[in-house]
Amino acid sequence: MTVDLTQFHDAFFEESFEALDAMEAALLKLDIGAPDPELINTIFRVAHSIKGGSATFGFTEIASFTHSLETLLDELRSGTMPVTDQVSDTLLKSVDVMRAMLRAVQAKQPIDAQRVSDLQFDLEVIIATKNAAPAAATPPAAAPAAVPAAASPAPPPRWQVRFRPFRELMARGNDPLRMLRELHELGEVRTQIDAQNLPPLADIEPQDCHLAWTLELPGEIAEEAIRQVFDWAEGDCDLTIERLGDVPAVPPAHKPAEPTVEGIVAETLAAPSAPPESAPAASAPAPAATPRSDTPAKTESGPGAPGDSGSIRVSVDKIDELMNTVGELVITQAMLSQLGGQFEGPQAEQLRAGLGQLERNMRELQESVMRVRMLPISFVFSRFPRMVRDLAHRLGKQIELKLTGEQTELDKTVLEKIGDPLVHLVRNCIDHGIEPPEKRIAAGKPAAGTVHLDAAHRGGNIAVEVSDDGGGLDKERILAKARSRGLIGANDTLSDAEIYELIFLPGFSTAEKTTDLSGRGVGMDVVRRNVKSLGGKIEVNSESGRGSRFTITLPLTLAIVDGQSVAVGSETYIVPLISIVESMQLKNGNVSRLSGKGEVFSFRGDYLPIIRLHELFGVEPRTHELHEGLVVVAEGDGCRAGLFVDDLLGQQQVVIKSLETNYGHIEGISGATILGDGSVSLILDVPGLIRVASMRAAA
Amino acid sequence: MADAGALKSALCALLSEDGTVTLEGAAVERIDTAALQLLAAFVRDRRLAGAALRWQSVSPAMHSAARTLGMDTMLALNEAGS
Repeated sequence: MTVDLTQFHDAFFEESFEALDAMEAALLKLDIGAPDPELINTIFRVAHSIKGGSATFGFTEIASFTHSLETLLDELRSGTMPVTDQVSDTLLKSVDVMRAMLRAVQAKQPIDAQRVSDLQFDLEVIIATKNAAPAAATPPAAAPAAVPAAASPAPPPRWQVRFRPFRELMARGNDPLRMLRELHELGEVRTQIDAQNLPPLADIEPQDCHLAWTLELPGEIAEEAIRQVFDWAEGDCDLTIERLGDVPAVPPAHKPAEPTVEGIVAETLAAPSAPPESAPAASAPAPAATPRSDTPAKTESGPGAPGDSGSIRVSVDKIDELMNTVGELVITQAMLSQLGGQFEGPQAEQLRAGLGQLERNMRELQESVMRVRMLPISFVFSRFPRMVRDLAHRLGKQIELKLTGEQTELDKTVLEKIGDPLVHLVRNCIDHGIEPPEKRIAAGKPAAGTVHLDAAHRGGNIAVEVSDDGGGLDKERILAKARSRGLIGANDTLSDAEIYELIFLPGFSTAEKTTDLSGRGVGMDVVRRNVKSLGGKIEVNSESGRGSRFTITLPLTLAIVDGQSVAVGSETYIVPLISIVESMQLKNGNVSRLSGKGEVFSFRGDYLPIIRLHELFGVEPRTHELHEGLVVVAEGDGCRAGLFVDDLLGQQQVVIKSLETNYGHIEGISGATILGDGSVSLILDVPGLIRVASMRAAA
Repeated sequence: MADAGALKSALCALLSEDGTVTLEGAAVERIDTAALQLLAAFVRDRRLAGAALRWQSVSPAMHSAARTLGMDTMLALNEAGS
């Protein structure tokens, strides 16, 4: 029977990437010199499970690399090698390489063999240098041998472990030697190998395991600790762990005879049935021994055990499908509600009560489904500690990263797309914002700069802030640059906000020399574009000498938008609330007509263009008179305009249906939705609309 | 991991060697179960065939690995100096 392993690939990749993230996080927490054993264990477990998985799936390069890595980690774990800066750096690099390898394999691309073998060489060198120091090389296994058993005259109860690996155990990346070594670390182990099934040499498949073991361990070791050693081999071996009676299974008298037994296990060790006469005497120390058993041996076994997180993996497609169905339901429900309002008669009240109930339930259902798609922003934040560390190293700056609000949840799609913009912003903060230590000290600031990432719910939105306590944006330099590029006139005076706005222009960069981090001018405009594509906006605040703050405001989800429905003639359009500044009625007096630029109106000391939606969309409006309709002041891309509409209808959440998938892209329209009465309404894309309108005005 | 295959071929070639086969284990820095298993089969097969075999020397790493697995007797390592 053959099993198609490819069906498990996706799960393997997904789990491996998550595991690598965990490994990276653990590495960053690792103290040089005095590492926390639990962290090293975590790191080891990751390497080990990736090795096992890749060996199973036949990804030999990954298996081979992780094998070297695991060897090094094993040295760290046993404490025979100290954790140095160099080791920690190499391990971090290994995380990168493993990620790259997994990605390559996943995309069925060739692996960058040079990079892998270089690093593998580094790993081997580290291991080899350690082995060259002979004093440290003595394996720890020898040490505990003399310690426990000899002391007590009546041997305490013992564990008997029968470990019978299946053939494929080793091919799955488990090495019995490693497990037995771990057992040795728990206490003195008496080992008996069973080589009965070992075929002639010529018939052995080198990766098949034909050996089995019977092991005896001191009774005071916690069973859990023993089981943990075999955790990895679960499913790849027969394992029985038995307590050999609370009476000594091997009375002292037998002892001389026992160790000489050769080769095959044919012992009576397993027989707890033998009722020795010494039973009453021996049972006295036994109760004393039992409570001790859970105390000393492995206190860390609790948190170390990979507990069931109580979650399942569901493909995003399924959730999207569910989401879509719920969206349809919401529409149907809205239709019913509208219809229900028209009924009269004795039963109409009951009908409406039922519809009201339906509406509440619908909302709950919708929220629950949305919550399924929500993930904490820590998924994105978690990449920053590493990045900041590396960048700070490279630039010779001292930087402290502060993360808050990591538990703030947002939609998976939003989460995936917000990563890159945040990386740009954090890089900018480190590269441009935070000054070198000398300069900071001279300015009376602590030598280490702080970069702060914060996420929080604000209203129906998520605000993600990236702030630093560096020098702030250099207004003079931005202005000078903008003038030299001809982006603004030589004598234009700009407000602070307008100056900051300049940095979002394509091709704008003030860095004196381009580093590979920033300064190519591809940064901020891309950031803004990405944020905008998520229906969000980005704002800058800066104080010279005190630092700058970038605030990204994002909708909670891309599937639903808070909208203001407006009427133009017989049509209804939705304006996203996030783009609306305010709505107002115009008086005849404050509208002027500029030649070639259409109509403008004064708004808080500013002149904004008026966009007549009915002209843009070719709809017959209820009125052509500006003072008879309303103007919605909307903002997008830092530009404001007044949208002239007949009337405001109401605010509502609408489910976004993509126009691209169902029809095609239209400039100025971001999507469509279905209203309660079943009619389709277009959702306006304000920045796009302003662009279209200004092009028409210019034409 | 790949080494085990090479070791097997090398040992197979030695299997029918006349006279005493001398194994040199001084340079072993790390060894895994797969390799030890092959060595164990080799030692046993040689013995069953009545052919001679001896260890020139055995590194501490190899000694400890064999002891941990309870294989030192079957590998006849104790007859070797380390």
